[in-house]
Amino acid sequence: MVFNSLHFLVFFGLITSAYFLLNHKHRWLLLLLGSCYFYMAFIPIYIVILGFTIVIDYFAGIYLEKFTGQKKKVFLALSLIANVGVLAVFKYYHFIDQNIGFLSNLLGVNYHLPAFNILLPIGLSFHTFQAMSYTIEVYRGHQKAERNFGIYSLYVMFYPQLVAGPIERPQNLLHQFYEKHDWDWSRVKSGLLQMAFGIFKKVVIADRFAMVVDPAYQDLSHQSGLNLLVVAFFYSFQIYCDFSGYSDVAIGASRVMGFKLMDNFNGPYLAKSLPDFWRRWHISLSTWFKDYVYFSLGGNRVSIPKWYLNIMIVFILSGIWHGASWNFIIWGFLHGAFQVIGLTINRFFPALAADKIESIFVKGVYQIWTFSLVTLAWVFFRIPKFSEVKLFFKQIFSISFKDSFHLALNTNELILCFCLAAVLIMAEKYEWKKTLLKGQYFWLVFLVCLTSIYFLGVFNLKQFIYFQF
Amino acid sequence: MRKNIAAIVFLGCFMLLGFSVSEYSMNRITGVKYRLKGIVGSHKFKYGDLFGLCYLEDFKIKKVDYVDKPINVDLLPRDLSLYLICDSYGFGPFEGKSDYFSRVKEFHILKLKDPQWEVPPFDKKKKNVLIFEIVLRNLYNDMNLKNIGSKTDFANISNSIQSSPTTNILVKNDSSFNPLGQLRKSITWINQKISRAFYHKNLESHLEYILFDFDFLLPFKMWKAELIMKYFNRIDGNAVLSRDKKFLFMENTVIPSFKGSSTYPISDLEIEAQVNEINLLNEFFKSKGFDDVLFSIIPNPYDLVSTNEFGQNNQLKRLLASKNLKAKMLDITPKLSINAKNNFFQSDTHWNSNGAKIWLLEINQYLNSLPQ
Repeated sequence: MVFNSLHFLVFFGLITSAYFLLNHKHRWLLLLLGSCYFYMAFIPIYIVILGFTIVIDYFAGIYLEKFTGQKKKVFLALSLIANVGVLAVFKYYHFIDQNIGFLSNLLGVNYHLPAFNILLPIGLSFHTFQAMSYTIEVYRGHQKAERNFGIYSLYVMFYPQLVAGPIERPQNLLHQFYEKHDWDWSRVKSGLLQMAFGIFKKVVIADRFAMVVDPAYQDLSHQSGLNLLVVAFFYSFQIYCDFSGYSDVAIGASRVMGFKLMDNFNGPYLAKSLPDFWRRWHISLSTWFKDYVYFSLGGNRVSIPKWYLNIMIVFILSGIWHGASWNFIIWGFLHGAFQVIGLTINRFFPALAADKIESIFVKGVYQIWTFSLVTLAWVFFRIPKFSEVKLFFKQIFSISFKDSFHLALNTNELILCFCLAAVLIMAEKYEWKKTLLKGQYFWLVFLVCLTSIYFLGVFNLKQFIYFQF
Repeated sequence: MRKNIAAIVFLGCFMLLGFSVSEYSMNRITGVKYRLKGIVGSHKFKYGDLFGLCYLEDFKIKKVDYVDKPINVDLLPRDLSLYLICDSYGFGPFEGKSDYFSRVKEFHILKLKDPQWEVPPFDKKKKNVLIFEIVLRNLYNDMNLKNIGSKTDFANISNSIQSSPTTNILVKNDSSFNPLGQLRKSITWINQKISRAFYHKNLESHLEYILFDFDFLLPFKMWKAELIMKYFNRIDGNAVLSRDKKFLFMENTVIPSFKGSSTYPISDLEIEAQVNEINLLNEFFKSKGFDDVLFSIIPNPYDLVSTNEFGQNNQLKRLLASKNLKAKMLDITPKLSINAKNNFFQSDTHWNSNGAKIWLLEINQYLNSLPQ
């Protein structure tokens, strides 16, 4: 069930109305059943996999609290192995098999693993990471083990953020299931508006940009350099609106019911440097890696080479998290490398550091530079085959003024796309969303939003890009 | 008050979901909606099914003609029992029209999309003839023994089908015990059962039909369509405009990624697999007791009224030319090609009364030619 569907609209109406009709005591059960229904809309049987990790982590949490010392470590290790194991089997099996096969071929070794053709369970990386954050927090003593199996299951399965985040921490979410949330019209208004903004981003911006991006990437050999330059620019906005649109709907839907999820985006394309970008993009994942991997490796309180290595490890892992393919690893590597290069330059020329710049003009240049680097990395994220990446850059570097410019949308619609991108950047720069979510002129804004969605929306039930992760 | 509103929303959403997952409820709702007049009337299929996808004023079919009863159809005595398995091409114009068919005394029409067929017992005193009509775009999904075998409930089922030599092309016979395979089968079965019960494959279109298919909303839909066409020069919906802007085609019949599309790059092996399925079906029906079986594959409208601007795979031509084809086929492409644009609607995936009449005349000619 995708958020941009009537099915979700009706489901949301059903669950939310029942939520406020029910006694507080039984609401968690409703949300749990609703979340099961939501998840099973993709491939029903995959709920068994989710159930497996839930059971493992539930008991791991209890035992982690019960034991100390070596035994505690064993239970944490068991829980992490189970979670990573599920990821390895369902997400990385084919990739590992392919690469070992390739290596064995090179070495002339006979190698054979049985074929395991299975579709990736939707949102697997998201809920697995959320489950892992629970056991790690219990291990660290920051969170008490949850004794109510239903509530713990709901923590992993809470439908708004089940398949594409934000990846929550137990300290933020678990206690909210015990709190009574009364009907609060101003909160509901704000939640509904955020949902509408999310749907707007998805169907008006992301899916419109996809109409240019998808056909061009499918037929790279027939695209001019100029075409591909525009397409790469559009993809940056497509993926941003697609993913942040999903987060907006998730956060908004939760807020309607009284739950507060963490923010996942904060104007990433306004970032003045790559570290700044990662403080604004997919915040729930970048803080996950920071808290559980980067700090565990020693963070920046180590020698400089080790610090740089830590950064590279975190970003390569982030790439692997996204997908079982070399292009995601390269994407992560590039982000790590850009940061290491940036830090090195800052060491020798401290005056050039982004946080020390005061001139608006230079800040603008930094923002454009950061956006360009991010866009360059997105090319690797979007194109899985090396040969096609090569073709992409070949076309880009052969760019000339004589190039034909022909994309899947006509000039009017392309102008609309550029306008939408500009409005989006303005809205983030001047924080229009925060102002509007306060509820002033709710009906006017809501109506304008819905009308724009209807008249400008592209309704093709296109899945969210991040569902595949 | 707040609780009352919540209760109304809950009930409304619950009923919406309940109706949308049930084929039976949707059929009832469709029936009711079709009877409604005025601003709450339905418009989805009233002006052409492709108009119902794109809402462009120029493609609104104002008047639908019906096929008249052919003359000379009652000249020969009615001595046949005709079973017509068909998709909407045959079902729309000929449901309940037994007297339109030459020599037909008993007429049973079986809709290809129905999950189950209830077929009355054969009348052994009459010649039992089966005609299988299907449009090319449905061939891949619907015209196979697995699909037909699962829904057939012929009264005199007695003997099972014998494998023909061609069966080997498609059917692998693996009798060895394979636990992983069994598990996979069970999982697929469970998935299908749950999906059918709670997540109907057409749930989204059902919801759209219940919620937004009212005549008072039509001007908004047409307004949006006109705006998109005027300023963005494209169609908002799963229809494709021909180059000359005279015809609308169903997207699935012109995109190369859909099996059944006239532009899908179908291989010779796939053609032979389809031929094999036709042969299997032919044997299957004969084994069920039919005296005569005829297959009639209708080309996609795109094949006949376009200039092949999006490509052409010549699927039907290649299929009919196969040396392995052992079933009787009626190809009406040549007849439909004559003045083809008069035989199809401008904005509907089906033929109009002219096209249907051409097919009917060919069928009647065939029925007349059968021995007494």
